[in-house]
Amino acid sequence: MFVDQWQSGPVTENFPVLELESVPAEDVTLLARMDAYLASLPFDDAQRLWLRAELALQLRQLDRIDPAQRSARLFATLQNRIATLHRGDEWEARLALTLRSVLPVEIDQPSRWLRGHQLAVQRRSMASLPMQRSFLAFLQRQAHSLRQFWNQRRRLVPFWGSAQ
Amino acid sequence: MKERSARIWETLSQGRRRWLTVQIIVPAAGLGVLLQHELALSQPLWLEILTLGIFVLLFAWISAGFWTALAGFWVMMRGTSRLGDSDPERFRTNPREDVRVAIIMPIYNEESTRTIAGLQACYRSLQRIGKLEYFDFFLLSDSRDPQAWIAEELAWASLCEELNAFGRIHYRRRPVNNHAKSGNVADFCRRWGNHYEYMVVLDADSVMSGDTLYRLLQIMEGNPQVGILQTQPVSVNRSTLYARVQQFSQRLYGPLFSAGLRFWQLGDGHFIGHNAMLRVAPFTEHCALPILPGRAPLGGQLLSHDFVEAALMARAGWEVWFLPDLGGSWEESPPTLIDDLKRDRRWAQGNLQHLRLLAADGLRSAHRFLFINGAMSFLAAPLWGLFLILGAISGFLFWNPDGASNDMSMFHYGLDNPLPIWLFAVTLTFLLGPKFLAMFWVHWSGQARYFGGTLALLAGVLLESLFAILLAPVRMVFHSLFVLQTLAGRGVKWGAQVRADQETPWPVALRNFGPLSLVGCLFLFAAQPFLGFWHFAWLLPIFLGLALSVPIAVFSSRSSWGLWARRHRLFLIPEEIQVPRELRELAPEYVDFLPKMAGDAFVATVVNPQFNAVHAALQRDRAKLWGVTAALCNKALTMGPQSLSQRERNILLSDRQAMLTLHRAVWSQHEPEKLAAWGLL
Repeated sequence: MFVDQWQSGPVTENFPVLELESVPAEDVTLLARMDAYLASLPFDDAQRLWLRAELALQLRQLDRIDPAQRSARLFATLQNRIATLHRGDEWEARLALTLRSVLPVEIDQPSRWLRGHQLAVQRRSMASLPMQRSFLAFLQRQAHSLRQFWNQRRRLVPFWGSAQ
Repeated sequence: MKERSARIWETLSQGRRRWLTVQIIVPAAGLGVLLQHELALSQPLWLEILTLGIFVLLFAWISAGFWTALAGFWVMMRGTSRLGDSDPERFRTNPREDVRVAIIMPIYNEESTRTIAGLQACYRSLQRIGKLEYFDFFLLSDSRDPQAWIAEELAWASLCEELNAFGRIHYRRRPVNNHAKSGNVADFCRRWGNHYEYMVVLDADSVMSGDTLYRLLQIMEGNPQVGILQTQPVSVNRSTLYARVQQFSQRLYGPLFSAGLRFWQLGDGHFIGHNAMLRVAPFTEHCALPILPGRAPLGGQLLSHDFVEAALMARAGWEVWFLPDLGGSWEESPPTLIDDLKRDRRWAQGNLQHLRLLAADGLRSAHRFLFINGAMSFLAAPLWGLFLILGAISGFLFWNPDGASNDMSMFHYGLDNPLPIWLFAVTLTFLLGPKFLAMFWVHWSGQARYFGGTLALLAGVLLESLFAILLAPVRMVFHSLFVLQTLAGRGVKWGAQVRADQETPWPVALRNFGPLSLVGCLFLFAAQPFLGFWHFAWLLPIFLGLALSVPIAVFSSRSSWGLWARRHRLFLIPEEIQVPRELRELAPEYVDFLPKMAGDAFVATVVNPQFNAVHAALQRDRAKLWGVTAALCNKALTMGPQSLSQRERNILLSDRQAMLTLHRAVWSQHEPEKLAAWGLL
């Protein structure tokens, strides 16, 4: 079973900001991936710069760690920093960024806000009147209505009956 | 109020329907008797009875269409249908402030760009007239394909963001799509029906103007006895030659037939399943569809639900009105012959199922007639085929190689006995008459310029008639096959429909129509000596239609041919001359805010932080599935997303935690091959 860095425990916090030029050359690919992640979210320039600096700093601190762990730790750091942008919840932060043009400022939980627009379900059942589909019954009904029609005519025009 | 107007239109409709019945029966019976005099002299009894029976049935059916068109012509020339106080449009009132209307669009694996464009056009149109406050929108998805599901979900979120319409435009996906479209609508009624007094049902390719929507609401508000208001959607927006010919014929001849249909139906109208407003409470109370006993295709679930729903609504005492004059209602037709036939295959099965409801108690006679008429649309094909075969048998049995070979051919009688020519002329009049009536009406009412001018209109009608004549035998063969397949127990299911213009390649056309073309060519080159010249000439359009079916299917599917015709003012329709704003807004530039998703949508939803966040927010935590989703996450991460089946993807996509976990885990990976599998390298 896969356990990601998020589930494995708290990630490092409160790093000082480092210069971006200090990123080791071999980690450029990793940082480029993180950059791609940052580019796909609508951060403002200050947020983006800060997040990138945080990543660069974290990368330097992880230089002695196994590469398999380093990628996971770096992404966990990124998520952690994004979370700080929105009350400690990374997913809500991503959602808030995505919906920033329509999301009211006072909303704490964008996911709840989004779901809150869904209409409440008020269950009722669908039905229809009972239906007799038999062709025999249909013919009987037609014969019956014909008889009725005939009887009415006889009442209205009595000589019809007497003529028979 | 319910009784007030009901009596007036019912009396009117009874008289009109009796007149129609007489007009159908008397000419058919009369011509049958005349034909019998001829056949009795020359054919054995069994052949005579069969030929006569089929002739009378077919003639009765085409005459129903002719008299409907004639009635429509009369109504349109007069400019009024003389309904007086029965006319629901006379009782339009402004809606109550608290009345709510749901505009629902059931979709199934549709192309979301077009769907969202249509919904947006309706929304903006209502916004422009300032009546948006009465309406809510629902995108009701039944999509099983994760690609379509994700695309429509993200498109919905973008649309809401663009229009700031969260809370007014809703999206719901059913995890289990039982009973197809009718089940989808029923599910809406069961969950949210209580919130709404009315609902407007749209197809994925439907568009309606705000004016029309509001007018429907006004009519409903002023007529509490009305259960369904059906508009006449006009086919638009296609560019293939086939679809443009269909658009042209529907736009030109359609109003005549629609006016005629309304003339008979009045408050016992039909419902075509979309572009209509329904009163939700009676629909929910009375329109649950029956499950037919026995197995599909003739038993089980009803494949075509709309006619039955209208019949059930009327059975419960509610009026169903068809409003062909309302305008502002559009749809798109199938782009190619193959797509059209695929749709016919489903309709054939659905309409034949309706025959099992024919004897149901309480149904209005108009709806029984609609059931019969619907079934006859497909049964006519095998009957016509049988009629031709009987003619061939007759010709063969009485073929005399010594020069009397043409004795059985109709034209051989010549001036000595003009009856066959009269029969032919009457049949031709009944078939082609409505076309000329429609053309006359368009010219007389000064609308010819909206069809490209009088000359272009005339050329269009002639070419369309030629096209229809050539396609008639192809439809006959396919419709006969559909009927036989249905009767033999081979059913079909509803599938996603092709909405976009796409050409039919030669191999596909050969696979579908190759045998027909072969048979047509054989008859064309070998049948003449057996049939005699006149009989052969009589059947030539049929042989030609069959022989040319492959090239017709290919060339008519080409947009370039359709656009060429358009440039030369052929098959133009008024909506192409004066494009309504709602249709202009279907253009791609009006939906360029939609997320661009290239490649695998599942991968995009896992990888893209925005897509992932929105999608996760719309899912639940499905704790009971966490054992399964954990294993699937592991499989996705170790073996890549390509290893997941569609079902497995749907399971993962429906659990919020699984999607959040996958997002983090994928971005945390470091092995190049695994990153590449998710498009991160």
